[in-house]
Amino acid sequence: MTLAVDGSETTERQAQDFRDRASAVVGEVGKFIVGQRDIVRDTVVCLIAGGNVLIEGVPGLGKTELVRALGRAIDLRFSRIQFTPDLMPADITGTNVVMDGTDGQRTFRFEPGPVFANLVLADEINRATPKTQAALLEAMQERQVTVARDVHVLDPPFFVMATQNPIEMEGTYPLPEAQVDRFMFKLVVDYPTSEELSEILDRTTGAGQPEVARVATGDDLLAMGAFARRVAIAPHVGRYVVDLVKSTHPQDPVAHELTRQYVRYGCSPRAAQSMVLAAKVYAMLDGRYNVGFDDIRAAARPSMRHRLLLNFEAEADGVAAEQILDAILMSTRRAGD
Amino acid sequence: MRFELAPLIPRGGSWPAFRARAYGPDAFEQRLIPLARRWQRHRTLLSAPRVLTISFGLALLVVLGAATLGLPRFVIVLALGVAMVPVAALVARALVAPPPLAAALAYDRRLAMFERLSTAVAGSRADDRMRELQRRDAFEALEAVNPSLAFPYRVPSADLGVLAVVAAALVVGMLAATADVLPRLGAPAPASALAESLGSAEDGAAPALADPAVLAQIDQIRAAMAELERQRDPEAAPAALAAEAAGEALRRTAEGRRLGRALDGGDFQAAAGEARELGEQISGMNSTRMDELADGLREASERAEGLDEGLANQLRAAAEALEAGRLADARSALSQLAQEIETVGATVQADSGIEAQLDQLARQLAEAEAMGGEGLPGAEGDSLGDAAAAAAAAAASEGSAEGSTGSQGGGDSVASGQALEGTLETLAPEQRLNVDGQLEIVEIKPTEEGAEVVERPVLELGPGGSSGFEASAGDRGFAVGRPDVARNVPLDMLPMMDRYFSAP
Repeated sequence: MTLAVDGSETTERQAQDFRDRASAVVGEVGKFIVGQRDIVRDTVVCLIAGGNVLIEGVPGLGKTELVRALGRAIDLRFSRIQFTPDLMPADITGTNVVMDGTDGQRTFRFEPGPVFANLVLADEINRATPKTQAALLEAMQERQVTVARDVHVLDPPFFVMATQNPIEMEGTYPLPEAQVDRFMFKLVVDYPTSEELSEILDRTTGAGQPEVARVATGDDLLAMGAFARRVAIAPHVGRYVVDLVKSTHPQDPVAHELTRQYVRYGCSPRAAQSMVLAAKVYAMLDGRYNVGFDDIRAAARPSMRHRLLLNFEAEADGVAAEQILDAILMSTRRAGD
Repeated sequence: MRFELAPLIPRGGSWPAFRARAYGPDAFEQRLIPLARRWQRHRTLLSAPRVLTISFGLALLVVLGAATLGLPRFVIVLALGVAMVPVAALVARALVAPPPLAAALAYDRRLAMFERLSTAVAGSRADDRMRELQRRDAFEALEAVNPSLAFPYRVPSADLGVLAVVAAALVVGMLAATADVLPRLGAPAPASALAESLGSAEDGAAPALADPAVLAQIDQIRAAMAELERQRDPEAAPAALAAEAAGEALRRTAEGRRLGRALDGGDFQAAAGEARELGEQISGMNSTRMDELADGLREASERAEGLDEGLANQLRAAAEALEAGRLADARSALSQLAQEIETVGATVQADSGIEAQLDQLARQLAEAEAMGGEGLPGAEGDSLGDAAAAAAAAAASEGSAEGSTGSQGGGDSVASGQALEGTLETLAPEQRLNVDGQLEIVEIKPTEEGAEVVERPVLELGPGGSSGFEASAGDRGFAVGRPDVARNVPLDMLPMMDRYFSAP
């Protein structure tokens, strides 16, 4: 007894191609980045899902190298912006410059900034002032830049991969909530293990450097992203996402106890969107055509940790967003529990 | 959700089961049905020990409670039925296929299938091709499932152990309740339990609860009461009422006043004498007095009618003879009336004696039971002891004079081989103990010439050569219908007599 397969062969082939390309990208990046497999995978997931990534970690953990390796593995226009306190918004978006014409007339011509690329590395984004940080808002959400009333559409695909130092460090400015919300994932890079550190030393202090091959294009990413959106998600799984997000709202009747005590603002609907999109990519990478609860749980922490705004009491008690999320994930019931 | 029985006849060796119509006809959901059944039976089996343990435990409490409170046995049966309801519910549950989504979720969770099955069952908003692909993926996963490995029929041994203990307790409790060995609130302890408690204090000075003889005494008292109740004459009470009514009527006449007073006061001997005296006086009465007496006798007859026909008839006969002026007939009728009055008196007095003894026995029984069988009062001369002894002697089936002594109004009597304190001499004149030790009321018929006193040497005590139905009596009459052995021979002498004298 078999199920009808008419019309599904193409889809199946697309799914296989999806997995192959994603695996290839992860593999190429893995040549350059030692360890951090989850970070690499989650970063690729964000790229496929069309989201922006905020990578947090102390200096020297390879955040920038990760993004650079991605830029090399995927055939994309890559630009890097080093955020500093004196960086101005026009330094990012670009500006109109006066040009002398051959007829002697002067005209304004728009000179695009580094944001006009497919993959933008915003390095140490929290070292710029909030005003400059906000210059990326429109680009990240609407994929366009407005300068002097002129709207300049960014070429797809467009990804912002920002790195930031922990907020406790000197010379950092916290990102505005609105901007933080526009990052699909916030990934936290931890110190490498002893083995990983030894491997890093071997690779980076020798004569040769590993070569990263281009294994995908921007169009591939766009196609993969579109394909991932087709992955099935059952109503009871979708309901689980809703319950998770609602559990972070302090005023909601289903809010977790820790949420009521320590959370000032809960997750926005973007968190739910991010979770579902990422979970769909996880499912495809796992060879499935449906989203499972585990996919949602895997996407829950990176999708919600930066969208959970804690109150002063949490700061005083030393409660981190991760702890609250852990409690929520533990207590939120799934269908069939 | 509606259910249907499908299939009615098992196919492929499977049991019939209720199938939810929610299961679609396609291959995926058809394949899911047996897996769903497996899961349903598995979880039913898992929950069964706990459900049954609780159910049996409650049933046990009901059974013990019902037995303790002395409720009827149908309550125990009802408790058993209630205990069986969860069993039936479990069986029914095991036969019903669960909703497909629940089953799919269970297998997803159990086999870490990442919601493949539940997504295929629940559907999604994905496009047709993706949905088709997903269902195919789910179907392949489903076909690889081995339900017996996923959901084995295995019950935790700890649960089974607890269930076995509770089930055994229920069985024992029901057997105990059925056998009436459980103590009951407000009821006397069962004989066996009481006997057990008695056994431990046999040798002490402690209460006679330790003495098994007390139980025998209680039984004897009950038997004696039953025997006395059986021996009560049902006509005694109406006869007393008839005599009282007749006495009231006669008291209003000048000639019959003394007779009426005697009857009304219950002095039947005096009444009989008055009746005989009237018979001797009627020849000296004038017609007016004779008519007045006749009217009184007739009214007395009418009042006694319906209560004591014999007395009423004799009264009427005397009245008619007087009204007709037949003096000889009137004299004879009054003489017969006197005899009838004596008979009524004997009946009424015998019943009064039995009633008094019943009252005494009832008090003794209540006292013995209230004291937990703490012995029967029966010191020398104690009237209660007398009654108990008499009753015990009357009830004892083998009381053929074995161990019955009576001296100076006190003595010991033995029933069933046990010594009882009391006397036998409190028997009323018309009461006898027969050779079997049974209490009897005998009919005393006075003779015209009074009691016949037969002088006997000491060694001629007993029946001697007298005929079996004409034994002598010392109370102005003779017993009718039985040899009067027990009354004349002390019971404790009978063994000796049996040994030295041949039977008549």
